[in-house]
Amino acid sequence: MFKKFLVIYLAVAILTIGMVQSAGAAFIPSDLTLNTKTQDIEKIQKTLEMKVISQRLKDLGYSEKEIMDRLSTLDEQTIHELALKIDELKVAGDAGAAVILALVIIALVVLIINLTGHKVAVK
Amino acid sequence: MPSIAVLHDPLTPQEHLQLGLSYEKKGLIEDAIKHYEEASKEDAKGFLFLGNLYLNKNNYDKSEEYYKKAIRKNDKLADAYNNLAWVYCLQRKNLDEAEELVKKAIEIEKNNADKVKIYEDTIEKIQKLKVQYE
Repeated sequence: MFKKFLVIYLAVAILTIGMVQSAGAAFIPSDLTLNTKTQDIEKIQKTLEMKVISQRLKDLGYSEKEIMDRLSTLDEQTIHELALKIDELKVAGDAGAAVILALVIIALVVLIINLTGHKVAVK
Repeated sequence: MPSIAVLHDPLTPQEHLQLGLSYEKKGLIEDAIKHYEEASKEDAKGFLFLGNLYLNKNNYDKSEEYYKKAIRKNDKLADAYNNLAWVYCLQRKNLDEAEELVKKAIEIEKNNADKVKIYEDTIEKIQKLKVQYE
């Protein structure tokens, strides 16, 4: 009885594995297109995340030394988390001052338009 | 006083693809999509990888859409032709078109024996399906 079940189980397993393999044979996965091994991707990830963070800190005005000092204190997991949230990174500052700056820019644009002989009307 | 910071993209399209692939393998799908989209601005492989990502999730409509975008952006991207054909195979539809797509892929990669072998597998699969369904 047990042998019979085993034979059926193996037959189904072999058939299923065969079908899965043939289904996957014709699809080109991204790794193959990129020609990169999984273990290489792991290594590359940290380097690229460091690059992303360094550039963002540079854009925000940090010096090379400050960037190096900050990054050297971070472990791999923190670098990973920081890289994922890098777009949420904001410069600390006064929101009120930002609004005033925006209003000044708008006022200047309106002034320039008026000086060139055009009128601005708000309907 | 507030200041304006100009943000630069530190990664090349190829690097966006690598980082996106790494995130995809870790299940960070939204982050992977973000990097593929960034890569797709300059490299059609960004669209190809988005197509692959959605195909892995069995979202055939989206994968078809992205493979077509990849081909429109770079009509020499053979893997996009093959994978679009594969989407049609999985849905048992447009099998004649699928065969033509793979023939095009073979033509593009005719000097790459490994790739041609995979494309020929796709053709074989399509032909079997055609016999079965037509």
